[in-house]
Amino acid sequence: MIRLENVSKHYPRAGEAVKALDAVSLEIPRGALALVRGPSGSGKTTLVNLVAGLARATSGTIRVGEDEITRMGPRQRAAFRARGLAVVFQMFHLVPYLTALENVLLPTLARPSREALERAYELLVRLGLSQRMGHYPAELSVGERQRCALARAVLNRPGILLADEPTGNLDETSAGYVLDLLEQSRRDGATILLVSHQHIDRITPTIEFQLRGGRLQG
Amino acid sequence: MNHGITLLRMILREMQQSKLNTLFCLLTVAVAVSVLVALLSITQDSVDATRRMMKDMGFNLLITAKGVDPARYQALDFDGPDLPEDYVDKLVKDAKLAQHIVGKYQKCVQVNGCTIVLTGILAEKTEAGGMKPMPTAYDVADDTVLVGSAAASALRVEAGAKLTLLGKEFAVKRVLTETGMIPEDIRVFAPLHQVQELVGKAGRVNAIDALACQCPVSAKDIVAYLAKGIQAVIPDVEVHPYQSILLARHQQRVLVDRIALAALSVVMMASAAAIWGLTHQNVRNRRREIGVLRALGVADGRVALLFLGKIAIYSVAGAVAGLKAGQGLARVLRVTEQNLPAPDNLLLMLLIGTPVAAMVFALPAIVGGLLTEPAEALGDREA
Repeated sequence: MIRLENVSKHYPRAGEAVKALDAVSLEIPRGALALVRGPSGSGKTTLVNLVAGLARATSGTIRVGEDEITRMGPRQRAAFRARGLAVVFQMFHLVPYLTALENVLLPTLARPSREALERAYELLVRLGLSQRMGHYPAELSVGERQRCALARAVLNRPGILLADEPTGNLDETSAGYVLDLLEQSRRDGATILLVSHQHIDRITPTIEFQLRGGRLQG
Repeated sequence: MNHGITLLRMILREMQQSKLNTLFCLLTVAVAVSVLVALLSITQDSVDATRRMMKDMGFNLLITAKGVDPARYQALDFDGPDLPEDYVDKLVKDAKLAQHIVGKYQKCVQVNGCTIVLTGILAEKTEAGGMKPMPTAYDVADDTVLVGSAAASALRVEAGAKLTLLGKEFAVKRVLTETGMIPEDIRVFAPLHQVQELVGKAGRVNAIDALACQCPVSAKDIVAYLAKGIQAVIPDVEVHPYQSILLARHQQRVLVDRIALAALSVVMMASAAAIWGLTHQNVRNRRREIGVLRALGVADGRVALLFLGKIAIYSVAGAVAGLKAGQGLARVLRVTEQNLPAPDNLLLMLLIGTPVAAMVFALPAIVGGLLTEPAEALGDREA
């Protein structure tokens, strides 16, 4: 379960505090697929970053399962992510000097696993990247990069998966691969928080939120 | 066994990709190490050159029995108290403060109606204070003598002539250059043991000449410091410094040390700044990568190892290349072969010291890169 209580995030800009998130409270049950929709600049990425512990909330409380993220230091938050939380970034963030396969295997630096190599192969094949394993990110298309980033996120079968606009820049085929894998992760028991600026036909969220100007609507 | 990716593999891949950064880092270390090696060699060479110059200036310490006035010692009719010859051995063995210790017995004698100062001198045979024996200009072999210019002219002898001293015949090896000073120009140098026998003073010396070594004290304290150190080994002696020579030697050494230290500091500071700068640039260029790894839950220590590992690799390679280049540079600068640092010891020192120093220099840049929140490093902030 993911629970946010009065979570705010303010960024200083030109001497003023910009409210990226303003007193947001929400609850996502365990095993649910939550879709947070909102226009660009509504605070969706900030929401993902705060739940993942990649940034600190200005105020409020965030709990993921038994863990209270907002009370953790950087080291504890890294360990928390290594234990079972993964993020699919809008900008993919693949490491440029590693091949697709090596990028998928990156989480093993945080959590070594005996089955990692086998699973990485399996995921890349499943995502239609069997011919791209030895290619560098610069040699992949946008859709292939996003699929590679998704494979990296699910390598260690995280219990919580946060996806920031995972299909935002993709063609229909690539989006299909990505959404199928997200659906599969949900079936495997993961709790998924998906943020998007658009409606996604191919998935049926358990719960849906609207974010506008840093505040939840309705 | 981990079937994933390893830090070493990532480091090597990154080095392969950022060839320019790696090359600059390698060059920085290699240049710093080569300058360091050349500097060490030049300093050692300068110290040796100074030693040679100082030796040519003569001894700077006179050690006599207690109560002997050094001015009186130079007088022609000096017949003061003497010392056991084994004091020379004791000083050679135990004194840490003096090197090149030479025992002497001198006596004013009449030869063919001329007054000469017969000076028995014992050539240095063993090492003192870890230094190599240094021949003096007055060392003579058995049955030979060196004759001062005034004495030679009074006695009408030249090199190759025979000279009878107190009933014993010696061959004149050389006539010494005129100094214009008495008693120097009326001295006749002969082997100590033969002189002792002739004057009936076997096993005795009446002066010991020495060259004071490097003293870790200021110029004003050096005389007291040396006297105390020498008297700790042979208590019943008096130490008379030749102040001007002693201080010139001391100041020359301090100067060489200061120049070496200043040059070394400049090299170290320049290297520290260069390595910090290159690492800072590398960390900045890889901000996103740092953010991704931390977002994946990789501990900060392991992320830092990505950078430290790279530094360790290029600094070891740079140390080896720098050692070779530094030795080459020293040869170009005409440093004598014996003063080139011993490759084995230095290589080991550099292989350990260089990566440690480079990592210390780079650490602030790495820590700085790890202080930002992962979201900020990724640049995904959305307001």
